[in-house]
Amino acid sequence: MKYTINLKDNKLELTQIITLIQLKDSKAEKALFLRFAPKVLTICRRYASQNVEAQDYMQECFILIFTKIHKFNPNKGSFEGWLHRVCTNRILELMRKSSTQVKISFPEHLPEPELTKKDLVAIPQNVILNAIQQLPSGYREVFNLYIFEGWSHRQIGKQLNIAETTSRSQLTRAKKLLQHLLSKKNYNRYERQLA
Amino acid sequence: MRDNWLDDELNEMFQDFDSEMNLENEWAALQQRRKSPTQPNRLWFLLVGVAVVSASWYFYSTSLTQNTEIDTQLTQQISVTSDESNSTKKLVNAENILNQQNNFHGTETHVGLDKPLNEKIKLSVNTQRLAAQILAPTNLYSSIKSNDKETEQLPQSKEKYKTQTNVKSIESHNEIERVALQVAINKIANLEQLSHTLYTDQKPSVNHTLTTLNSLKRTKANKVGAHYLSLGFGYSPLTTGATRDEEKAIDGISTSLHYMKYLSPNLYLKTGINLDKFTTQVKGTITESNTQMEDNQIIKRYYNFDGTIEYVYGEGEVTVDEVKQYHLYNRYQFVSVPVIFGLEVLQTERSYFAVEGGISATILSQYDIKKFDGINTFNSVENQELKTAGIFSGLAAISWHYQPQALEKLDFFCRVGSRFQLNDLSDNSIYNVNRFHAVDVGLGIQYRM
Repeated sequence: MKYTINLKDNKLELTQIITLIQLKDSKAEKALFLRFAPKVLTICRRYASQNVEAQDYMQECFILIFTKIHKFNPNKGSFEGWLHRVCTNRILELMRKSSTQVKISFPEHLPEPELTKKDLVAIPQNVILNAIQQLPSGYREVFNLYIFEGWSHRQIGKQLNIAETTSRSQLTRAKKLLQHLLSKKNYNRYERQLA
Repeated sequence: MRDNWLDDELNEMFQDFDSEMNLENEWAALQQRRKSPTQPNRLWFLLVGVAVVSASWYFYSTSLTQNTEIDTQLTQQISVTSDESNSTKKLVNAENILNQQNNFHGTETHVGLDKPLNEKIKLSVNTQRLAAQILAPTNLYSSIKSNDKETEQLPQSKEKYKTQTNVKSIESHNEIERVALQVAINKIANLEQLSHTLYTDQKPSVNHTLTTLNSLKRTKANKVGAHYLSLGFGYSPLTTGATRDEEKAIDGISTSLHYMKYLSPNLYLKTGINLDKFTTQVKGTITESNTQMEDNQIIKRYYNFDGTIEYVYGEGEVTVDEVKQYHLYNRYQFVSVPVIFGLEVLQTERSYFAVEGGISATILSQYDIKKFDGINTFNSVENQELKTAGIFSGLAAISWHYQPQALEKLDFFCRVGSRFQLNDLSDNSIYNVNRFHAVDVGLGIQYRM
C-alpha cells in the first residue's frame, strides 16, 4: 500500500519523517523543512548581518541536516536540540569561511544603557533580531553563543580561538551596544525601517 | 551566573519565535541550490595538466637521449693453437660467431637498445672483424672454438643480458701467428670502451689463451625505452564507499589496459585506461499498512461525568502492518586515465617484483543507484548530483611478473593493490558519505611491443 505524506500534518511522527529522509524521500525532506525552517531561519538571522545572508545560512543548514540526520539519536536528546546544535556549528563554520565581513565602527565609550526590562518586552522580536544583526561580527558571535546557546566563555574562546577574557569583554560590550541600539531613540529608527 | 535580566528575557522571547517566511519559495530555492552545478575545481585541472605535460616530456626526452648504462662484462677468451687443416673452416666459424654476436647485441633489431649502445656494439663487432681480417691474410692455421652461451643465458635475447662469454680458441704453431694475433688484439685494446687482457703462453705448441674483457654493462640497460602493453583484471573483496549512509560496500572489479614505457632499467611509466566498478548493498524494510475489518474492536468510547469510561465493542477497522525486508544493489562505474610509476625490485632471471604508485582521473562515471519509490518497487535514482568526471584516485600496488621461456614477448603478472578516491563523489555533502577505497587482487599479461 502506498503511503502518502501530508505536508501540513504536524502530527506526523518525527521519527517517521527521519526514517523516510534516510531513504532520500524528498517529500519527507520537505515535511521536515516546512516544520523547522522558521526556527532555523531565526537562528540564522541572529548570526547573520543581513537577512539575505541568513537565508543562505538556512539553506546550508538544511543541506547539512538532510545529510547528517542519520546521526540523530533520539535517546540522547530531542530533535530540536540536535537541530539547534547542527545549525549553530554550521553557521559558525560558514562565518569562518566567509571572507567578507561588514565592519561597523562604534564609539569606544558607550553611554550607560537606558533600556529597561519593560521596554525590551515591548519590542517585537523582529526588531531585536535586526538590532542583533547590527552588532559587529565578533560581538554577535559571542553574544549568540553565550545568551542563546548557553556556552561558557571557555567554550566560546576555544571555538572562536580567542582568549576567555576577550569573550567576556566582547559580551559586555555586545550587551551594552544592543541595549543602546534598542533604546527608544534607535528603536524608533528600526521601526521606521521595518515599516 | 546568568542572572542578567537581559539574558533571560531574550531567551524567553526567542524560545518559540518563528521567523516569517515564504516556505514554498524557500524550499524551491533550497532545491535549486542542491541541484545547481558546482564549478569544477581548477586545481585538479592544473594537476592533471602538469601530469600530462610531465609524462609527455619524459617520453619525448627518453626517446631522444636514452642514456644507457651497460654493466655486463663480455669476456672473450682466445686461445691460440696451431691447426692448419681447420683454419679456414674455423675462421668462417669465427665470422659466424661475430655475426651472431652482432645479432645478439641487437644493433638492428633490438628495440630496447639505444643509439650510444648500438654504436658501442658496432664498434665492438668491427674490432673483432678487424682482428679476424688481420688474422686471415697471414694465412694462419687457426681454429676457433666457440662456446657461445648467449642463447642459454639470455632470456629471449632481449630481457636480461646476463654475462655473456664467448670463447674463441685460435690455435697457432708459430711466433708470427702469435705476434699477428697480438697486434690484432692490441688494436682492439686501443678502442674506446673495450678493455682487453691478454694472456699468452710463449710456447707455440701450447694453447695461448687470450682473455678479452669488454666492459659492456648491459644487465639493466636493455629495458630502457621498451614499450609494453598490459592487460589486467582485478577483484576487490575489501571495499568501502557509499553515497548514502545505509549503503554497505560489497565488492568491486577492475579492468585495465595500459601502455608502459621504461624510463630507466628499473623505472617505468604506465598510462592507459581503467574501468572500475563498485557494488554496494542497501538493506531496508518496507512497511505496508492494510486495514481490515475485525470483530471485538472498540468502536466507541463514552466519557461519563462521573469519570467512568464506557466502551462499545463491535466490528471495526484494524490496521495490519506488514514489514518486508529488501536488498538493493547499487553500482558505481568509473572510467579513468591513470599515470603510474613503477619500480622493479628483487629481480631474478625470469621474474621480478614491481612496486607501483600513481594517480588516476575519471573521464566518465556512471551510476545505477536504486531507491524505494514509496510503493513497492525500486527505481533508479536520478539527479544524485554525483560527478560524471573529475574524480581522482590514488593507486598503489605490488606485482610479481614472470616471463616463461617459451613465450618470448609475454609476461604474466599477479598483483595486490589498493585504490582510494582522493576527492568526493559529489560537491553536495548529502552524497559524500564515504569515498570508495578498495584493496584488490588481480592477474594480467604484458606484451612487449
